[in-house]
Amino acid sequence: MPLLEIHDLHVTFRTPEGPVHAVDGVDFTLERGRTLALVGESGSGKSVSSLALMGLLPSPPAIVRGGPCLFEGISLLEAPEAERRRLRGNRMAMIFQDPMTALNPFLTIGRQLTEVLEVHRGVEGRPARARAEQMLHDVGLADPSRAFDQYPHEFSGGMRQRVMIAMALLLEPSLVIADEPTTGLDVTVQAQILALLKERAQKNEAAVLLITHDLGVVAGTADEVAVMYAGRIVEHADVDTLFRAPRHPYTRGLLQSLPRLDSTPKVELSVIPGHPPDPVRLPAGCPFRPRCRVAVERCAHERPALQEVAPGQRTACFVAEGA
Amino acid sequence: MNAPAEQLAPVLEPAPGEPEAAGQSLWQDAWRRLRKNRAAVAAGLTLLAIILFCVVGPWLSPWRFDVPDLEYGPQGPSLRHWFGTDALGRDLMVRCMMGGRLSLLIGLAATVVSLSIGVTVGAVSGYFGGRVDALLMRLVDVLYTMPFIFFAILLLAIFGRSLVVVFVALGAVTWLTMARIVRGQVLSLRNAEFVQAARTMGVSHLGIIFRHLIPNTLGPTIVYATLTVPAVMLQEAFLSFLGLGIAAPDASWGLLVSDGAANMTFLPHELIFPALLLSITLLCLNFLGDGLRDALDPRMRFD
Ligand SMILES: Nc1ncnc2c1ncn2[C@@H]1O[C@H](COP(=O)(O)OP(=O)(O)OP(=O)(O)O)[C@@H](O)[C@H]1O
Ligand SMILES: [Mg+2]
Repeated sequence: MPLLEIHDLHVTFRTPEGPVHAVDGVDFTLERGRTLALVGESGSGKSVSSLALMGLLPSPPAIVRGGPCLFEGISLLEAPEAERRRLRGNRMAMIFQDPMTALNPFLTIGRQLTEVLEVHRGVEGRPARARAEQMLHDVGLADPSRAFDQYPHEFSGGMRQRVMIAMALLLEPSLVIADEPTTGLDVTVQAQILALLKERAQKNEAAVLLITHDLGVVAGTADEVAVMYAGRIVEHADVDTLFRAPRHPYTRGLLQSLPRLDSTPKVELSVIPGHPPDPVRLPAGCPFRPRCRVAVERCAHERPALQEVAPGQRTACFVAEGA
Repeated sequence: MNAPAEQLAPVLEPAPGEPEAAGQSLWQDAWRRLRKNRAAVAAGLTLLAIILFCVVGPWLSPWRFDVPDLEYGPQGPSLRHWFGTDALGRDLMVRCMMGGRLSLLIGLAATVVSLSIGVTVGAVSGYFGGRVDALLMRLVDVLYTMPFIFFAILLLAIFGRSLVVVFVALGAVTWLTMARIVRGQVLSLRNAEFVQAARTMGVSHLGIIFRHLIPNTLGPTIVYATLTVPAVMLQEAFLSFLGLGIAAPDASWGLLVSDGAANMTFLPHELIFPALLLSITLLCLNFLGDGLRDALDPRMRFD
């Protein structure tokens, strides 16, 4: 049984302008210990999907439908809030984009770590402190017992992100969702943080759902990639396959827009012309059609489903299927 | 796609930690920081002295607050009566001490009520929003529109004249503003990423309100609380002035000031001493409040 099985996940926000279809039928599975990168343009629904999995979308305005969505055999969309809260932090944890704001400025690092132990394990006092310090040591903080008593503002961005990783992995969850965990950090620190995340996750045999804009990060870190467009996954494959033989026109466009070391700096990056569709008024048929160079008649009124186009590669495109 | 602008964000230097051993909790840290603030320490010591003066003083004084010194009559300060006597010849110092006991007690009680009800209601209202918020804030609005004095008279008419009624009346009005202040603070914080992060770690709503949000609102809360004390003392004086609060021969600072104001032209000391005590207390509370606010914010440093 896979760790996480998501079928036909829909998230709609009720807004004054009408319902926003932020996630529109997402399908994927994630095996234990694997790293899946979720990539796609801004607004494609990556964060909303992950928050829906965590059960953290406020309702109203969010309406989460579809399924079944199974995590460790538990049906996420049907589990009562108390059970979902037991999962959060314990079995599934999340690392945020901005380590500057994701830690409470009024609580010491230690307090924020021990709170997790207290809430889920009832561990307090000395043992909690020892466990937290061990974890701070494991994520590479030089002086854990001092860091325990310090406040977030006393740390640099990279160190805070280490603390966030310590917090997320403290109870050895089987799923870690990292939503652009390195966007706010400088390049050298980015690499360290990703390496650390991957190392710690592997040690616990935790699966990682890595949300990112950065295809460079994907190539270096992920086992598989799912490409999102307008609230759907349009292509899902192993990293190698995806980079070597992308089938969906959107994925191809993304890869072409990636700057290469061997390209002359004068060459303009090829950016996919056009804009993603308005999530309030999604077009009938394939949402990528207005920007697609290879679209055919059928794309205008029929929505392509994710189909296996090659072993280990699923693509939602009529043209790719036919090819 | 590669977000180059973000990658070029400046490298943040690791901040050097505070040199000495750090404490365990917010309050221990706050205490450590507060002790370094001279103005706050001086204000705190002065307040302590005033409290001691009021609480212990009456037992040490040879005079009683309700028995006039008939030989002496109404006069200014002397060795016999250090603060002088009031218009009826009663020792003003003992009356100031007794008045202080009452005023400080009322100020403290109303502040505790305002803190516990106001902070809880405000935080719950701001955090949950929606219907809960609408309901609680309409309740606050309704109570706001009720004139305080009308409320006090109503209570006094129903329950008779007693100190408890004065407490209730004052407590009932002071938490309203506190609730609004805390609600505003929580409203601005509830979408902060650290709240979301705490939720992803499985912290319950109540855990988030009491462990994460309320400590973040303590600064403005404490400052407002220290303003509540003198405000309540003055309101009590107003009630007493109308004959609804404390009755002679009992005294409160507010009552002493209003008596003193009446006799200001021929017995100025009768106004000066209680007014001085009231203002010093008020000033000290302000300094202490400011100091506490700074001490409670871990991002502030004292050198
Ligand atoms: N509370 C909300 N109310 C209405 N619409 C929302 C809400 N939250 C998100 N959305 C919409 O959902 C869509 C998907 O947003 P999401 O944050 O998941 O994008 P993303 O892929 O994470 O983008 P980014 O890369 O910029 O983080 C967007 O169109 C956004 O406007
Ligand atoms: Mg996002």
